[in-house]
Amino acid sequence: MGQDLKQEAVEDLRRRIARLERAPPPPSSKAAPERGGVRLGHEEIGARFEGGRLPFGVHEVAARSAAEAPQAFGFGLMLMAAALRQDARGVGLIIQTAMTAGESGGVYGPGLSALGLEPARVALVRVRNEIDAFRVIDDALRSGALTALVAELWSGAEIDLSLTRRFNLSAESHGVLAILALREPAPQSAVLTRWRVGAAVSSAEIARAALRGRRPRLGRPALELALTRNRRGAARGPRLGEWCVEWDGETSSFRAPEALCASVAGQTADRPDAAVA
Amino acid sequence: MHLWLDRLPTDRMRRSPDAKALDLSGPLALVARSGAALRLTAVDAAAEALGAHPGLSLADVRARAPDVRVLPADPAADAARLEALAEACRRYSPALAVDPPDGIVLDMTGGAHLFGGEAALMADLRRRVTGAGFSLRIAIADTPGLAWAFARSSATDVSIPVGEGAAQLAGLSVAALRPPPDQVRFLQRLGLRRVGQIVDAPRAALARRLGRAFLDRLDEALGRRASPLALSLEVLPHRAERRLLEPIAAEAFVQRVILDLATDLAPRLEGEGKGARRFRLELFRLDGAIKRLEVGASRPLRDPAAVADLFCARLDGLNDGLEAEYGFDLLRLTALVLEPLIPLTADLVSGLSGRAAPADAFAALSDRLSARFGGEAVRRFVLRATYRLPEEAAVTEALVRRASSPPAEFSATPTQIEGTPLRPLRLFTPPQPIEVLAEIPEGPPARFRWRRLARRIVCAEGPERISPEWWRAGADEAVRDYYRLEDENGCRYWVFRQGLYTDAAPPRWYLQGLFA
Repeated sequence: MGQDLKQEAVEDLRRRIARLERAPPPPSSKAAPERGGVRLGHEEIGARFEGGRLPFGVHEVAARSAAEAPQAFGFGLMLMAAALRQDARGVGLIIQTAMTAGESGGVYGPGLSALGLEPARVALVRVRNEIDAFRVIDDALRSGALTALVAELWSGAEIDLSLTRRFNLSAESHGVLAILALREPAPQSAVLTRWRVGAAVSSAEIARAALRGRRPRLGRPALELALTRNRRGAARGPRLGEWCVEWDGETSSFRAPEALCASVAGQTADRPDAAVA
Repeated sequence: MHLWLDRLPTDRMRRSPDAKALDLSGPLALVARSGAALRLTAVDAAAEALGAHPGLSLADVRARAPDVRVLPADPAADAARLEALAEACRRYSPALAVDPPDGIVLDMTGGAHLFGGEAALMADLRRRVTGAGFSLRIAIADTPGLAWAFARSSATDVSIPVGEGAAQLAGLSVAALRPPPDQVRFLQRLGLRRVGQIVDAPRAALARRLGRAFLDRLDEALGRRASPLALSLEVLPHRAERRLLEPIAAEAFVQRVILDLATDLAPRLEGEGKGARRFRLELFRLDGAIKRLEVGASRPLRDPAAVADLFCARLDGLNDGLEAEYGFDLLRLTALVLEPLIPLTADLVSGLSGRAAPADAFAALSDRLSARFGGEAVRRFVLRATYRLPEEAAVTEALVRRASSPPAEFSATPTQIEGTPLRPLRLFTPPQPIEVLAEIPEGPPARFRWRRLARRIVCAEGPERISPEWWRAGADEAVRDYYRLEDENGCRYWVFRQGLYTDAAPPRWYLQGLFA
C-alpha cells in the first residue's frame, strides 16, 4: 500500500516535471489542419508523402545542370506559392546571394505574380555569400514569422548535417516550408527531400498549335522533376519518382501536362481530317 | 537684449567652406535679382567705404567701385546661419527668438547677473560672436522694441538703464520704430525726424495717416503694449544617457546598458504616444573616440527589449567588432525619427501572453535582418505607377525606409494570358547583349549565342513592343521589341531587339530575363 502511494507520488512528480519541461507551443496563427504540409495539387507526387502533402521542413532543390538553375529556383518559388495559397496570412522570404543574382538575374516582381505569388506578401533579402545566407535562414526560421522561405545559393559545399538538422528543427516546429535552391546537390545534409529539377520542353503545346495551324505558343512553365530522396515517404507504395509537370499559377498547383494524343482526339472531333494531316 | 548682425550675409560668405577658393579678402558685396535689375542686397564695411550700399544696381557698383567683389546672395543660407547662431546663444537664455533677416532677441530678464552683469554679458557675447567671424551690435533695453531701436541706431553696444528707454528713444530717428520705408520718407517730408516729435503728437491724426501698425510699434517700444516674442524653444532630444564609473568593453555589458537606456527612453516616448523608427547609439570610448551605430525599424518602436534586440543584431553584424580597446565610459541612445505609436488592444493581449502577432513577428524579423545586414539588404517588390521600360517599371526598395513616407503598393497586374507568363521570373539589369546567329528580319531569332553557348529556338512568342514614355529624350531610339523564346532544352528566355531595320546601324539584340 505504502509502496503504491510512493509510486503514485513519483509518477505524479514525473508528470509535473514533464509538463514544466515541455516547450511552450510555437507562436503560430495557422489553423491546426493546415499544419501537416503543403498540398501540391499533383496526385501522383502527393502520394509519395505521408498524408499526401509535402511536409514542413527543409527541402533541397538542385538544378539538373548549371544552365537550369533558374528552373530549380522557379520550382522553389512554385512550392512557396503553394504554401502561401494555403495560408492566407502567411509571408514568404526569398534569399539571394550576390553571386546567384549576378549570374542569372535578380528576382522580378511581375514574374512572381505570374507564378501565382503576391509580391506584396514576399520580401527579398540580398546577402553577400552563403555564410550570411545561413544566418538569415537561421534567424528567419526561428522567428516563426514565415510560412515559406526560398534561398538560392551558389554552392551547397558549406551545407552540412548539423546545419540542416537545426534548420529542420525550427522549420518543423514553426510550420515553415524552407527550400534550398542549389546549382549542385549538397554533399551531405539532413534535408527531408531532395529534388533534381530540369527544364521541360512544352512540346505538347507546340504540337497542338501546329495541328491547329496556328503559330506555336509557349505553354505553362514546364519542369522535369526527379525526387531522389524522401525521408517522410508514405508508409506504402514508392517513395521516389520522376515526373514531368506543368505549373498552373492561377490555382498554385502542379499538374501533369495534357497528353498530346488526348488533345488531338479532342480536336479531330469537330474538324475535317485534313486538319490533322 | 537684441543682437544685430549688421553684416551677416557677407560675414557668412567669408566663413563659408569655399571662401578660401574664392579669395574674399577684398571688399565684398552680394547681389540678387530684384525686378529686372540685379541689385546689391548686402555689402561689407570695405565695400561701403568705396561707396557701395544695398539697393544699388550692379551696373552702378561696377562703375563706382570696380574693386568690389560681387557674389550672388543666398538668403536661405543666411537664415540657416542665423538659426545656428541663435542656438549658440542658448547658453545665455533659454527664451530667445530669431528676428529675421539679421537679428536675434534674447530675453535676459533677471539673468544678466549670472554672467557678471550686463556689461560683462555683452563683452562675453561680443567676444564669442566676433570670434566666430561675425560683426554685431548689441543693445539691452526694457522692451524688445527699444532694444531693436538702440541696436540698430547706436554705433556701439549699449545698455539702457531701466526706465530711461523712453527718454533716450525720443532722440532717435523715426526709422528706429521699424516703419515701412515709404512711411519714413513720408514722416521726414512732414518734418518729423525724431521719435520725440511724434510721441506727443495727436494719436488719432497719426493713426489716420500712418495706420494703426505704426502706433502699435511705438507703444510696444515704450512698453505701453505687450510685444510677444515668437520664442523658439529648445526641443529636447529624445535621448537617454549612462555615464559609467568603470569603463566597459565586453559586448554582453554593452548590450545590458543598451537595454537600460532603452528602458529609460521608453516612458518618455510612451508619454508622448510616440515610437521611433530610427535609433542612434553613441559609444564614447575612453580615449575620446566615438562609435556611432544606427538601427532602423519598419514600424515605430519603443519596447525596450525590441530596441535592444535590434542593436544586438547590429553589433553581431559589425565587421571589425566593437573596437572597445579601452572600454566605453559613456553610452547615449537617441530616438531619431518619431512617429505616433498607439498601442492596440491586440498589443495588450499579446503583451500579456508574451506572444507576438504574425505581422509583428515579420516586422521584427525584417528589422533584425536590416540591422544586421544593412538597411538595403531586406527589400520589397514595388511597381511604379508609370509606363516605362521593364527594369524601371518594377523594382525593389528597402523595406526599412529611411524617411517616413507611405509605402508604395504593389498592385497585381494581369501578367498571365492563357498559361504563359508575360514577364520573366528573373531580370538582368542592365540587359545582356546576345549574338543572334540566324535572324529573320522583323522576326524572332532562330538561334542566338549567350555566354558562349549557342541556343536553338523551337518556339517564339511576340513581338511585344515596349517603348519608354514618348516625352522622354531618346525615346524613339529606345523602342524595344520583346520576344519570349524557348530553346530545344525547354529553357525560356526574354530577349528584345533594339533599333529598327530601317536605321543605318543594324538592330541590336539583348537578353533581359529568364522564365522559370
